[in-house]
Amino acid sequence: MPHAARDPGAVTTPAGGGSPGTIELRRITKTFGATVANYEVDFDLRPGEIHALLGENGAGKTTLMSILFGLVTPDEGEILIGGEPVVFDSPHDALQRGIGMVHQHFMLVPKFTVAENVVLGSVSPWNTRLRRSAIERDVAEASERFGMAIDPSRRVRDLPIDVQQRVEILKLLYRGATALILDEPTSTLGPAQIDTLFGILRDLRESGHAVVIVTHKLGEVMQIADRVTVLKGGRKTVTVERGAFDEHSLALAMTGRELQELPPRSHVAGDQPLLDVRDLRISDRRGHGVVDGVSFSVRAGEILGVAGVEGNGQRELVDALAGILHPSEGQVLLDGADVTTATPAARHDHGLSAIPEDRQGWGLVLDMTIAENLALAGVSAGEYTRYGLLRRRAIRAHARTLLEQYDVRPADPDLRVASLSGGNQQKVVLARELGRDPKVVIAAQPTQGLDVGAADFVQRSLLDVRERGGAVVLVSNDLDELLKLSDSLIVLYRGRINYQASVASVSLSGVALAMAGNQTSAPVAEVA
Amino acid sequence: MNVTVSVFSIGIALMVPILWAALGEVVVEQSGVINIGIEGVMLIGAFCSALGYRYLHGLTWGLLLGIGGGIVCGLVLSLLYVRLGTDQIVTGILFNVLALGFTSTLYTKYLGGGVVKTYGAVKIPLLGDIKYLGEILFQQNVLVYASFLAAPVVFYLVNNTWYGLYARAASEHPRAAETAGLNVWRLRYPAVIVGCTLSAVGGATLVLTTSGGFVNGLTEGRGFIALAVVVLARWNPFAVIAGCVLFGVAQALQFQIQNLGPLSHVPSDFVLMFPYVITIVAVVAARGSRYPAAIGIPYRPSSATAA
Amino acid sequence: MSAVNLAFRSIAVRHETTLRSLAGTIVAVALTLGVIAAVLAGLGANPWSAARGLVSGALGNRFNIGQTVMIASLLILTGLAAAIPFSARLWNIGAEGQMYFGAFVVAGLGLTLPSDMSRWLLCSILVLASLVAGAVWALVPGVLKATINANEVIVSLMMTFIALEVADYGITALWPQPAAPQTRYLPVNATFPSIWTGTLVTAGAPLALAAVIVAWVVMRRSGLGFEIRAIGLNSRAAQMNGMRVGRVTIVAFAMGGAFAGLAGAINVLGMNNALVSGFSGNFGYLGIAVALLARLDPTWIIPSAVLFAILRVGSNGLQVQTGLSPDVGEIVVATFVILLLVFKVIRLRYAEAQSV
Repeated sequence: MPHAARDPGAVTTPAGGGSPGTIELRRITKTFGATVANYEVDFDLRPGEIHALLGENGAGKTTLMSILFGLVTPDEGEILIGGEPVVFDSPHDALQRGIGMVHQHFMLVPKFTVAENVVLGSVSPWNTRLRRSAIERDVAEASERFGMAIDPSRRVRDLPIDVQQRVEILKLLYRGATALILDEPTSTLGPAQIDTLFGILRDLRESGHAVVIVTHKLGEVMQIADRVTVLKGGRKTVTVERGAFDEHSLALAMTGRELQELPPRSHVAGDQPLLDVRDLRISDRRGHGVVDGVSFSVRAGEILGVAGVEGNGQRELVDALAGILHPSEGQVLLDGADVTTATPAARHDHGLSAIPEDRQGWGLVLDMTIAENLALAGVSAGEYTRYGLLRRRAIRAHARTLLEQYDVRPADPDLRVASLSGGNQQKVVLARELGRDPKVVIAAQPTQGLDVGAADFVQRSLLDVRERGGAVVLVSNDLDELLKLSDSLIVLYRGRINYQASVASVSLSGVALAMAGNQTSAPVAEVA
Repeated sequence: MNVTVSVFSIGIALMVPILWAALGEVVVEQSGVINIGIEGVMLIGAFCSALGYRYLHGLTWGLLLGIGGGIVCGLVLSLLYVRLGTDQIVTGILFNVLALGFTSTLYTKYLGGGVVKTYGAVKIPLLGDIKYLGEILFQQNVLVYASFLAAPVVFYLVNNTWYGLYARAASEHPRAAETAGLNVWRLRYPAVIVGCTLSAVGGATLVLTTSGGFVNGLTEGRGFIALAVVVLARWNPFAVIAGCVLFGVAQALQFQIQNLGPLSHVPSDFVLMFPYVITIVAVVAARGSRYPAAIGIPYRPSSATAA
Repeated sequence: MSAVNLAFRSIAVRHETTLRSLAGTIVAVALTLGVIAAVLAGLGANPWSAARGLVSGALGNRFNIGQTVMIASLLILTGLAAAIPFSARLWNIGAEGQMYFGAFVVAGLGLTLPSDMSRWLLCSILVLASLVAGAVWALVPGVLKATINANEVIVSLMMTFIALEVADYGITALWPQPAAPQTRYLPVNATFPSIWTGTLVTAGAPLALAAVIVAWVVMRRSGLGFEIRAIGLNSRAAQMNGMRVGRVTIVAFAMGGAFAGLAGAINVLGMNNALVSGFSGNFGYLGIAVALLARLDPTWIIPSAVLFAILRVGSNGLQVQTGLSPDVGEIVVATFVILLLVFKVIRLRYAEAQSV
């Protein structure tokens, strides 16, 4: 496919009738209920380019790409390919035209093999005979052709995250996709895997494919994008070519304001470990050590950051600390008390709070009111009941206080939590968990999916806990966030601590290597 | 006559309605839908086949009408479960009540206790002469043989066809199926319709073979037993068949209980309980149920979903 | 966005669902009436005389009203038996069996305990026994669900069929009444006193009302009810916040079973004065429909049960007028509730992941 001519200094304006194969989105508008997700957005994609779609969480990036992929129909606007308008009723239509999407949460059937996932949907269902050996052969050949060595007979659930992502990409290429959309592809990857991914993307570009990378990370845009389109609040602010942008201008276009620094912190770490984890072991159903002998401790006034590529035991570790999972071996001590097999309720009593990774799945009951959600833990602990009956006035009073303190909007305790925005929902979780003034806080991906303002609030709240003498375990896929907030850092790989250092003396390359599985020869500094 | 052989022989005959129903449920569930209304579908299939026999004169008409009843049930249920996305468990329960109401109402008016001549046993030459096994397996009626053929067809459909693969994807991760370009609803409709038809044949089998007639509430929980078998067998074809045989034999024991010495003193009520108790024991032995990830949840395609 | 604007918006959001439910109910009612008229016409009956037969059969005279009251009492209890576990997303389909078992135990005790005890004492003991019996019967699916996540639909259904056989055993073998499909009659002291002359209404009716009050207090005002609802809406979040799902599961099933057992007692002690074979016209299953129509809310269970009772009792009048089987009422109720589901008047939410 021919490369479109590029004038390095120009700001692209979409013109009618682009070169054959150019994909254009024109004046796309989409509203969901009361929210305007996209408003008159223009976007175009040329073959042989890597085009970044940048914006905060909630800016409308995923919606726009879902429209391009046929998952969502726009209220207004049109899609053109090679100058002619097309209508996509479903992903099937988009795939027919060579457009494919890799979602942030993978669309793979974990139980199926790689081959079965790749061929899913590729032929008509009335094509009766399905032979395992034939499809595995086909997929093996395809993976060879596209330079991605994947064993087609393995089950997807047994594969590490970055390999799963490659399966997703292979799936699209197998279907003949020429334009690939990747939604937040690096959110679960470590630095080494991100490099591999970018290598693949560059190869795709060289062979004439068009790639859209949807992201909110400035660093990546700087690294890989040929062009950037920035969305803010559902509207497009700007599209610029490589060479015409830098981090600050992009940040400005993304948020409308300069990046804000967090408040400076005083060093308040005490001597006593509030959380002591000793030789923790958790095995999965098949006996593999998902968490394999993890030991660390966190002192009062300290934030411990836990880094690692998703799928290396972080989730199980968090579950074990929160009390949902029981370890097969090891101990968890909370301010001296052994809570290894204690229920979540008992841990609350000992001063533990957990901010779960999936707030809608684990943290909130969406169909209950804000007040009820705030009282969720208290009711089962007997705090809000007298002779078994609810003390409703107490619940609502408590709710009102917390709502104001945590600036939740709208501050109506009788509103269903489902009607709140993601950021406000997370604030409700924070209000409940931090409002009880815990000694130890376990925070798992607390700013995931939040816009900058809400994320900032969350981070400040965690720092607050630290100031007040609490201990925080922060598990996050966002290395920047970890480095910003933590006092010390550990890296998890295959259930073991691969690296540990205080943030003051951390080596970024050491961290990156550790996340990819290479152990550094010795930890740079001991962590308590 | 050897008691064991006759128990097994009757057991096979008795298990066939459950087998049909179980096959039907396998087809339905592999696409991600759970049909608690299977009992009602069986009942309607039974009723329609009795109607067919009575008014159209003949076993074949009975069977055909039973199949027709199943197709109608399938259309209604697929509309409710798939297109309208109502809660599957609740809708299924209500459908059973509805089916019972319909058949009971129409029974008094149109059937009033007629007796149906049943399909006779047809002995398969050669195979039927094998000692013991021949008598058990190959001296049965036509519908039994049909079920022997249907079972491998169903399992082939589920495991070895493109349709089966796609439908199973829809039961595990329907969103993944959609983004791969498939239409989840269009995968589920035929599953529900065909599944209901098979279950209805199970009901027809009851009327046209074992019971020889229709009475109110004829199915007596067989549909639910089939449901249990499918859940516990986790879609392993051999386990499904084995489970059905187990129940058939358990029921057959009721008739032969007086020939089994020490057990002949057990009151008949307790013997009748046996199949149901076995089901519970089986549920416990299987230690719960492990369903496909997305079963029972109505699916809303993306463009229809508000953020 | 101004505060007024926000407030307005939140009120609209809160009431939008109610308005939509109202519209949906009206459409559902209209459609059900249409379906029924069609069915009746198809069966050769005049819809108007059918309607007249129905209403007079249920409410035409004092006696009929009394019958409606008693059937409503049963349905209230089986409705509660379904509603409470359903609120925790636990499918207690076995109310029918729990009711039969409660009836069995009550009949047995009533016939074997000394009948010269004071009526109050004897009846109180029997009522308590029915609560315990029903609870015990429901604990089988409950405990199995809590410990090994056994499919409670299947287990509770199987328990129902088993209970039917147990009851039958009582009728045919243990305490038979010659030439009648029932047990011997219970001594007078083991039956409820009548409270409305000219009808068959007994103390069972106020007992059912008392049960509603208890259920309401538990579900809407107690910590247990809160936990039940939370677990029903999102059991993972509930668990993470310290709720003991297993324990609540068992308690919810036990409560449901107890209510169903009480229904059995009301029938034996307050209606038939004996355990009659097949005394329940699927009241257990209808209870599910009652509960759904009431949106699992204890207060709405009363009018819902009354509606279904009218349909059921009235069906006898229907039979007189049109010669149709009384089961026609079942068709009406099932169609109605299904339509309510279709029009989302009744919604059962899940802990479903929101779309991407």
